[in-house]
Amino acid sequence: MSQEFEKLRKAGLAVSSPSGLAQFRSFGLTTRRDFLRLAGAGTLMVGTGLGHRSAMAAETVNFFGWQDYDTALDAKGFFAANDIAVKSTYMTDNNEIIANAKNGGIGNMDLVTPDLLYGPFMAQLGLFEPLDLAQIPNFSNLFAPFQAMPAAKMDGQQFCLPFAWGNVVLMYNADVVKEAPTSWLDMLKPEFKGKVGLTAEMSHLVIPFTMAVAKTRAPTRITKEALADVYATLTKIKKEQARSIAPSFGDLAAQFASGEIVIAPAWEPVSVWAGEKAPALKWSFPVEGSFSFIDNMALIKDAPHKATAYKLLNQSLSPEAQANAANKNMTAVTVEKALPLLDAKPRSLYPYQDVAGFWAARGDGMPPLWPVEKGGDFVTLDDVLSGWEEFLRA
Amino acid sequence: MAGFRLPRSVGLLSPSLGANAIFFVVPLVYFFVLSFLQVRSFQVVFDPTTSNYVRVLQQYSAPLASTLSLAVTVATIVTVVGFIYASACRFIGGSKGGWFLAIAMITLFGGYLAKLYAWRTILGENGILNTGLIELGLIQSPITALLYNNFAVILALTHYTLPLAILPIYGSLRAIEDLPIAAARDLGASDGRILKDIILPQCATGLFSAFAMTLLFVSGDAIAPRLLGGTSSSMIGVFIQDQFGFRVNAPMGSALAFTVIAGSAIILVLIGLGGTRLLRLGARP
Repeated sequence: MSQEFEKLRKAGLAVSSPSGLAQFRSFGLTTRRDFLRLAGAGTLMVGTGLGHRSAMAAETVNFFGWQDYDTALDAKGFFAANDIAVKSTYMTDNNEIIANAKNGGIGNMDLVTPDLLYGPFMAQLGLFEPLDLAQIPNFSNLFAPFQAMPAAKMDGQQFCLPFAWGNVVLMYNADVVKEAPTSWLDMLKPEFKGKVGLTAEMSHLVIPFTMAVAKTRAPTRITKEALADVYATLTKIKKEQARSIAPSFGDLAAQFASGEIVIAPAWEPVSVWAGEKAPALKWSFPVEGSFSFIDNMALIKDAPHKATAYKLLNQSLSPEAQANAANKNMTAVTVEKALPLLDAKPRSLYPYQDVAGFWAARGDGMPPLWPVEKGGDFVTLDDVLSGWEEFLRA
Repeated sequence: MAGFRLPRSVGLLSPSLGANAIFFVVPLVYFFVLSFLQVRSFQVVFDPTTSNYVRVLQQYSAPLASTLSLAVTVATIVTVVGFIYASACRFIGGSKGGWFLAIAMITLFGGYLAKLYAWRTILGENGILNTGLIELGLIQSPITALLYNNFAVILALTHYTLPLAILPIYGSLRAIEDLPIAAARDLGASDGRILKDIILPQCATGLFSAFAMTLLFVSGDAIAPRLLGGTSSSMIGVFIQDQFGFRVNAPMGSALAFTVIAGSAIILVLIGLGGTRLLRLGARP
């Protein structure tokens, strides 16, 4: 049948795409006979595997993670070329990975996308398989800091593959704010009353403000008194300074674009999502320190489609998939070879000129998660989450 | 002796009763039971307790009260405006009444989210309303009080639920015959008397349905307060969503949801009893 298709292709009546899709060209009205001939050829091609291959994929991988991270892996028709189908369910919070894995996900889920703040805790809970790096040759593509990232390993074994990252920065409307803010606490200045933006991302607010209020570089190891001070400051900002609490960073971008807010803790992509007509949005890294997130790919324990999942894990660190994710989501890449494939905008958002220096300044990693068990001098994750609820209710 | 035969009405009702049992009663019972359980280490454990409800009353009474009062406000506005519109369709629109009803229904097209974003476009600092008022010279600078507060939430929810409320009211008004109204008018009854003695008693069910539907929709909403509410517009739906998602605590989320249901039910019983009493008093000569 491929000869039949080749004839059609040479005749200019059909084209094939890298994904395996076949498309027939039409030049004006076709006769009924022409139509039946083409339809017959098409049917035969679908039957012999020349059609869309994902429809007949050999194996389906169950993906549970952030939206668009799954489709980014399909760079250059990777799924069709490897007979892989991906069944995706999207998460809204890292905690959902734990809940789903512990409530029937182990043995059913394959790939997940934990943040590196929560990743080590999930590995400790036994939710992840240790990764066999021999099956992930693209691991060597990672920038050196991401290869060595301590939080991605446990007992010397790799559990998480850094896939995308970004930073919580202090973004401001440079048309209005003439002097760049240098501290998270600048949001309390009287001139920003009613013009401050906040988001409903707990760690993205609590960690930077812990650094600023408690004056610590270990923001997840603090006392109850310090946590109370942090929430008191955040509540003051919420009640006296903030315009609203945006449900997402996309929403925050819209508020910057419409002029509703002029300063907010934000991600770098917010400056792009705000659009071409938005005011000039700039950002600073406050002196107290900042929070960076690193999203990973991880393999769930007893994943039912391990071999295929490994193909996808390796693909996640290919330059093409990395560039695909960054160009689509405006997140930062973890693979150096992806840089030439980046569009100008996503490339301009991150400090690619010195990734090693950037991460060295952050202690080469992420802060650990707040302690989960009670007992020490420090607040627990539950204390922080309870405080967050109280902050929202205030 | 003739064999046992189910009444015909039971047979006719069985598909809807079955669907209700499977898709409404069973999940409701499941979540009710869940609301008395606990979560430990991200897993639900069977250790029955009332502590979730105690926590709801201790920690969430303020957002619960503000949610229910906002829901009552929207439901009242919608029922009154819906009644006026439905009455116009029924008594003034004549043969065109159906068309006016269709116009109201057309506003349902586009969906809930699109409506909320539309209101943001209208009410924002650089929105259509502020821009228009500045262009007309009526204001010098944008009015910031239009958006990100309870006013914006009430406006958007009223807009969305109004067509849904008009339907049951119009349905009950259609059932009112013209003859008693004409007879009352011939006997010298004023419009107010006709409204009080004939129309309102006969469309009470429609009014109550409209009020109840709006109240239940608004009291459980989590989207409008997130998109249009300000920093203090925390409705209980937002916390229910957070408990199921962010906190992974379905028992607590269920307890919150059932408290809202209970609160709404109490309001509806009070409104029902109060409404009946009012109509009885009003109907006295």
